[in-house]
Amino acid sequence: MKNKIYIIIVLVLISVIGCDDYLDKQPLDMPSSETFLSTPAEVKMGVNACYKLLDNDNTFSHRSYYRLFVALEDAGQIRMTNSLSPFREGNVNPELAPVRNFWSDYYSGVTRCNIVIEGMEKAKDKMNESDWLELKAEAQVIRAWCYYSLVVKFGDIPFTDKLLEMNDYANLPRTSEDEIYDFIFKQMEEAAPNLPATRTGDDAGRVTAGTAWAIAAKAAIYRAYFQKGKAISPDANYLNKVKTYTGNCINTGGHELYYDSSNPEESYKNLFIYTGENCSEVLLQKEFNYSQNSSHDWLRTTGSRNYSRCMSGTTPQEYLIHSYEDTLGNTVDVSPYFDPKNPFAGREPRFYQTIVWPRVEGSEKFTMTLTESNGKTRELTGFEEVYPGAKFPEDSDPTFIWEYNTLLKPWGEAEGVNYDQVGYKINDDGTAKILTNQDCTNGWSSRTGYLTWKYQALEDGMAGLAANGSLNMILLRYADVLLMRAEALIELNDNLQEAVDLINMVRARGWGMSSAEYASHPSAKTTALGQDGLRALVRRERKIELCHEGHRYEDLKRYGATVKALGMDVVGRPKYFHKEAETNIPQIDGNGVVRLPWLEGLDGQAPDYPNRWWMSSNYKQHYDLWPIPQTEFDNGNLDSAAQNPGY
Amino acid sequence: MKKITSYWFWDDFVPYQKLLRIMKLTFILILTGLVTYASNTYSQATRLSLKMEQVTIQQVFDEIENQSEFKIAFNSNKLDVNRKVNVDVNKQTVDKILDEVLENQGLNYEIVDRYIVITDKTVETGSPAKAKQKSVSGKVTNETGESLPGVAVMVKETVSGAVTDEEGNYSLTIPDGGEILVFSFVGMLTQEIVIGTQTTIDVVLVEDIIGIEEVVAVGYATQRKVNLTGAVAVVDAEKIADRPIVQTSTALQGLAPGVVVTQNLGTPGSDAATIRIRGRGSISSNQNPLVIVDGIQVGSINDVNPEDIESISVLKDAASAAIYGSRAANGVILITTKRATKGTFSVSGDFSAGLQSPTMLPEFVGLRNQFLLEDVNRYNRGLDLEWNPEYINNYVNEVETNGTSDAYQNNNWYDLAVKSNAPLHREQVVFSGGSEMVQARVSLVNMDQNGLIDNASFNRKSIRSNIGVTPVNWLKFNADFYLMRTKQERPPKDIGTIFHMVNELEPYRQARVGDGLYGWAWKGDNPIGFTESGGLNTNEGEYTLINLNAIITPVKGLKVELGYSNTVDNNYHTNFTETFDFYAELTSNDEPLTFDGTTPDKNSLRKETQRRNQNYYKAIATYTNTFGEHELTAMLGGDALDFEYGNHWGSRTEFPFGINYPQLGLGNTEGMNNGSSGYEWALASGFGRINYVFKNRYLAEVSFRYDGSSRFAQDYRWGFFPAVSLGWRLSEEGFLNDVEWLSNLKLRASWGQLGNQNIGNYPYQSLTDINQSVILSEIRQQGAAITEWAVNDITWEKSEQFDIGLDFGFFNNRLNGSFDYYHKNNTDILLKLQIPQVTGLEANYQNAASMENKGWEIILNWNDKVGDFGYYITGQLDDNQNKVTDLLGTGPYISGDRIREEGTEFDAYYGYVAEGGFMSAADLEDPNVPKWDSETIQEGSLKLKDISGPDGVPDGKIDINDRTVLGSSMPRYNYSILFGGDWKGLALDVILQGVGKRQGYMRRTGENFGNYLYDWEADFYIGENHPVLTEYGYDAAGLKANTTAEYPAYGVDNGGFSDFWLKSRAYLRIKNVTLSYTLPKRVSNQLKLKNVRFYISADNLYTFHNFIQGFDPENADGRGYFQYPNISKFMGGINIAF
Repeated sequence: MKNKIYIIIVLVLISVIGCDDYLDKQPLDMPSSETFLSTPAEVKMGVNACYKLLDNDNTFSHRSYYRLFVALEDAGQIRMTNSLSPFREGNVNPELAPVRNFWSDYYSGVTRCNIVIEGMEKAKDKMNESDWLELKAEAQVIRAWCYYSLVVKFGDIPFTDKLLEMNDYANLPRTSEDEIYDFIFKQMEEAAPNLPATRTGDDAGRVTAGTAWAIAAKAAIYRAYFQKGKAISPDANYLNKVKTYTGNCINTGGHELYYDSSNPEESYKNLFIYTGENCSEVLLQKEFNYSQNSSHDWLRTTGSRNYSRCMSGTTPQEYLIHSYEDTLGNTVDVSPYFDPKNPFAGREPRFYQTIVWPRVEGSEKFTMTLTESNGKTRELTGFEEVYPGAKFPEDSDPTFIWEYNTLLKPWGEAEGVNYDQVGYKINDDGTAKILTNQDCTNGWSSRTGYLTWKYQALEDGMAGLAANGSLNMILLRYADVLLMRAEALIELNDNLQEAVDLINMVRARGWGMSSAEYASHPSAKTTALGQDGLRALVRRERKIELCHEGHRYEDLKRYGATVKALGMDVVGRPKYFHKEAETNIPQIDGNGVVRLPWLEGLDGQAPDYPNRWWMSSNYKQHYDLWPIPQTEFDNGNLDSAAQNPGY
Repeated sequence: MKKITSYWFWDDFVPYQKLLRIMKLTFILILTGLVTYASNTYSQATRLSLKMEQVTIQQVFDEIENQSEFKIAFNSNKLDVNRKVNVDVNKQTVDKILDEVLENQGLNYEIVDRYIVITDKTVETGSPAKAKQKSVSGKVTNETGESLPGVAVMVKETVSGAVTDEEGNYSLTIPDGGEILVFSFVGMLTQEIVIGTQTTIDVVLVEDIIGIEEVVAVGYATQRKVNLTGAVAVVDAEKIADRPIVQTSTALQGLAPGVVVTQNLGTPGSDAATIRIRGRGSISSNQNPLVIVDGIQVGSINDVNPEDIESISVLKDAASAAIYGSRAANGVILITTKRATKGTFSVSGDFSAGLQSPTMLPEFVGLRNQFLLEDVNRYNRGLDLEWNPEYINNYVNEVETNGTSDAYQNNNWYDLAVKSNAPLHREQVVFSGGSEMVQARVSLVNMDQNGLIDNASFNRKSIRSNIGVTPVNWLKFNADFYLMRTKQERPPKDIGTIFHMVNELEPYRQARVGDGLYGWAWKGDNPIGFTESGGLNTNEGEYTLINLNAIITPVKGLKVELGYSNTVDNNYHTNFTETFDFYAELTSNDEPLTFDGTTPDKNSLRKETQRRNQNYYKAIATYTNTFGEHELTAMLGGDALDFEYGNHWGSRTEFPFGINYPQLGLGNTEGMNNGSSGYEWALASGFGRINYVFKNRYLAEVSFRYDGSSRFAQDYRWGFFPAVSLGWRLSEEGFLNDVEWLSNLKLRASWGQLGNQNIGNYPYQSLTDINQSVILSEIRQQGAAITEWAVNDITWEKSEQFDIGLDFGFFNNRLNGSFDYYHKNNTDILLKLQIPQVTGLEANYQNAASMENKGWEIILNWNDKVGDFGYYITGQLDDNQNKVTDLLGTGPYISGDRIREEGTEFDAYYGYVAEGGFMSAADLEDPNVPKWDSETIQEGSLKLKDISGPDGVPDGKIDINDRTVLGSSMPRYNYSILFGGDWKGLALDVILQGVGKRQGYMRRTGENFGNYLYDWEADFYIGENHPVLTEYGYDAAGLKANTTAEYPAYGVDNGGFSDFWLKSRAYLRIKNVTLSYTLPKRVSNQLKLKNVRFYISADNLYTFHNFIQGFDPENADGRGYFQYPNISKFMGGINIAF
């Protein structure tokens, strides 16, 4: 009896202590890392989550880093705190928050894709092979995009294609940029064949073979011109890769330039708003949908002050205005149409589809008496049609606008709308209600006096959803691919006719014409420009076509033109008709960089500075490679000697 | 013929009466109520070895006394102590030795625990003594008048003695020189009485509160207090029995040194009391102590009914707590519930009722001052004035002459929404009885607590049935069942927000308009509407506990315990938010009432069910034996615990039939929502302990626990937690034997390691975040990703503690106490460290930080009885100093007004140092006075001290570099004084509790303009000639204008949080006063009742403090103004036992 009890005790103790299974507890409401990605559904969910980090700009209300780069263009500027303005102010350092966030966000994307690509092996046997390969290819494309985004900004960077132990991360050295580029090329070559040329239905937003080739081309063209933080004379080896990859992209046949069939002349403008959303020109985009609880506040930060809560924060610069050709295809400096008193007239159509410029002339001037609530009356003079940032010329007084029954009018341009049908709001005494023109009077209206049309979904503004836009943010589009190919061909002096054809294709769409139709247009280009002329053309063409889309900064870097282009004062439209402007015509160089002769010699915000002045710029050459964030030295074992030069 | 005793209802037990009564008393007296294995069997457990030749009997007795704790006395003329005998025994119990020594002497002896009385075999104990010598007789009873059998009565400094009989009577002859009688009994204070000329001496023995035989609960066992080597605080159940305690958490307050209980709120059903044992030892993890009820871990100390508690032991040092290993780092609270004893049967009822009211409430400035100060504030901040003199005069005159009306109101929102008194009552019935084989105690408790606002209440009903069965003498079963049903009701609007509104709303805001309609208040946020008509939030709890234990004693000295327990805690949550209508603000009484809207827009219902399920298994073997002067107890055990949680919930809005039909199906399907979640964890452990006692004076204890936790990765799962402690009972040493006044002196020292596994359920795994859905193709597609870094090698937070203590008792233990000093190092504290961002994952907790706690505790107790008057006074004081010792080079972490940095107390206050104020414009212009970069700094702003700059030296500017550590946020010098006395059934008990040093942030500082003004805020410096006052033609004196600038000007920029706003939160509180009266036995017996007791009791009767007027210094830091206030309770009750 006693012995039995002893045995029982010992057994109980052993069973309790010995049974380790008892202590294996997994989370009950979600899969743990131990089991994740072992089913087809989990693989799909895992890949979906990778799309979330395509461009995860958490700092800026989930907009897009590629929109943030407007701050680093000679075409636009952002007036927001926490932006990239230190690049202009000349005090970029490794602690800079947007740089750190950019780094960590894209590494989050890399890691997420690494985990998925590695972990989905667990589900390989449970899935149709082509489905599995396709999902893997999607993660590879997103990872390549993340690495592309990082390598062009930071040069040599820590690299891994697997999830590592913490120690290994802390000790991860910087891999040479060439190896990163090679990785991108190889990955895209592997991924593209596993991806479809087009996407439809619920897959419409997913990447295609074209996306993979375009990313490879993007990486190749950047590497061709830019190495170890410096612009170099284009490397034919990489230019040939551009040629190959863009060719592959075009040959998939899955993508084409967008035309708005009902309104071809507005095709370019409509590409960036709901009308053209999700068209096949888009190669890569970050999607939003307010009804699905996902939105951004791009309109709020960029839109007209006349929309409630809009802040006119991101606006075109004067330099962009003068980058557009006239309707004949002449640059400003040689354009017969250029009139300093009316600098906005006679430009090629993309000007009007990109820039909201101040206009009062031509609209009827009137005077009315307003009775204020305190009983006092006020005489008002104004123009029937007022445009953002108006008060041009300075002696006009467009400080108020009609209050229409819709919010269409305050924006200014609203062609095709019959105002009589919309109707004014009428006061009791029968006069029309008026509103203050915030674009003119608000102290925080556009600093440059211009606004942009790009990604301006006005219907969101009307619906009070300026801060909750659904418009998808395009990261990469087909026109870019065509221009990259043209550029590579020109640089290789390979097939200039094809290059000209590609450029004309892009230009034709601006006019709303088919390529064939445009071929006979006076502004259409020919090989007569020669290699040098075409080189200048394609560089200017990229600036205009892709402005405010986050590519110009990279282009400036590879042309070696950052200091020149970004070192100029950030300025808006002329404050008044500058006498000298009549004789000193804006000049444009081979990189599309515009020089305003009348600003030369003036430093900063002199009282009589002829243009709206925003800030002087002190961009430094070494900024072409961004600093590795300080956190990597503080929290990891990265040697601080390995910091990019200049920091 | 047997005498019929007064124990009329258990006559059947008369043959066992003596035994039963001894046992019963023992049970009452020992504090654990458990079987006192060690103490009851002292005579059997104590084995002596004697080898003596040709020695006197007296010498033998002396040797026995020397080797053991026995005291030998005689009441016999036959005994010749000088007779020579031979003794040769080896490891024999004392009865065997006595049998041998007293063989054929015609003598008898009786062993009562440690007392041996030798009597004549033929002479009845207590029979009249021989005529020649003086004799004394009498009766010994306890405080309730019950006779005490078995009391040793000795004549001091002689060998004469007697033992009381079944009726408590004794009689003995006094030898020459005998002057003093000494009455001794287990668990009672020894009494000495001068005989003088008395021949009858009746004695009432008083319980020895810190009796030599006291047994306390320790981890997995009980131990005699004298043999304790660890720091264990014991709370007597009687101290909490009569108090109007509704939450067990508060019961501990002021009753154990080193245990700091802070009651944060008075909300019915959740007072949010925090319990900290010896400081703070963690940063992000749970700092609550482990609570064990009858061996079972419970989620909250409130999972046990205060009425069922027999005793509470707090294991404070590592040596006593290490047996709980990875859960013990924050200390352990062991609660033992009451059980029935053999041979008793009683039914008792306890009924009490009372009222609760806020401990204190702030006063407001009044209508006119409210208007004025608002404008003063606006003026000081450069804003347009809102009021004008005409308006104010008109308004105030209207109220003063015509009284308040719809448009002219003067509300004290507290009075409107908060009741000054809320009822509270509890009823308890206990059945307790037991035979030799079965003992059962069943208690039924109902407690009902109403809240200070409408629709807030708490109800608890519980049944506890503790059953013990002893089918054979080597086997005992305990089967305990506990069912608790709780129901907490509150308004759906957050109760803190309601109190916030009550404080915030200006007196002129409209509360009620028309015929009981809700006024506009603030945009319809009307606290009266929220409490009266805002719906109901109900949380019903079903707590079920089954605790089964088998105790097997296969051989003498060996005890095996096997146990299983299951706890199921279900919660049913129904939150129905109802809308109420509010009416537009009226500017004159001529305006019609207009409906303005409903609050909130639409009604809604959320239902949630939660389930917690815990299984617990244990097996423990304990072996006790005595080898000569060596006493050994060894324990080895294993236990395992698994816990599972799950919930599910659903919600909808727009219920057309309102709150009367709170069913989800009736709501609108649009916007409906639901979800569920769950987790589980498990712990498996082996543990052991060896207690060794040598010569009753050298004590040693070694314990360990080997814990395996599911919360860690397989390779890091197991942890070992050892502890060692030593004790030295100096008072038992020969050289201190003769010191009369010293009754107890013991030195203790301990060291041990503990762990904290409260670090989340799956910290070593990275969880898959399933909320990573993404918009693709314009629709939301499900996404999942790993977003956190899994720290695979994460392990428990560790705590290492050294404790040295001294226990002492003087004058027969009438004065006793103890002192402890400890030094605790917590290491491997979890901290979220920054990781390189190339990892692309969020940082997770790592074992990184260290913290140190040093402190001391002292308790002093005096108790005595003078005639019929017994009294006691106990004082306790403790202190704890905390320091963060290591953050792995990271930090400082500054969050608001607190800082966490190496070398500083955890969460110390951090901010600027104020030095006076800008008293004049000259001050402001003086370039030598450092200022901060702000345009709003002005006359009347505080001056701040320029402590440092970016280069580490004062730079003439006030910026973040000038912040410094301002002081401790922890309560220091916690103290309590407990005193009381009783006289002929009348008893008074008082608990004073306080904190000697603590700071608090006056969060309503006047710098951020609120809409509400307290009376103390009228003291703000506004200047006699303040432009607003002048404009308003206001008599400055009436507004207590204060040019001495005790406070900064109202509403100005004061540069941020400075020590100006730190106030002392030290307090002394009359925590409890209980007055009771017990009917004399003869009266209650005539009523056929065993015991009748009346009592009145008050909690939080009064508080002495220097904090802000109207704010309870005990309330959560500086947040008093938007929380449910702490409450005072007044109760009266009656306790009847049949």
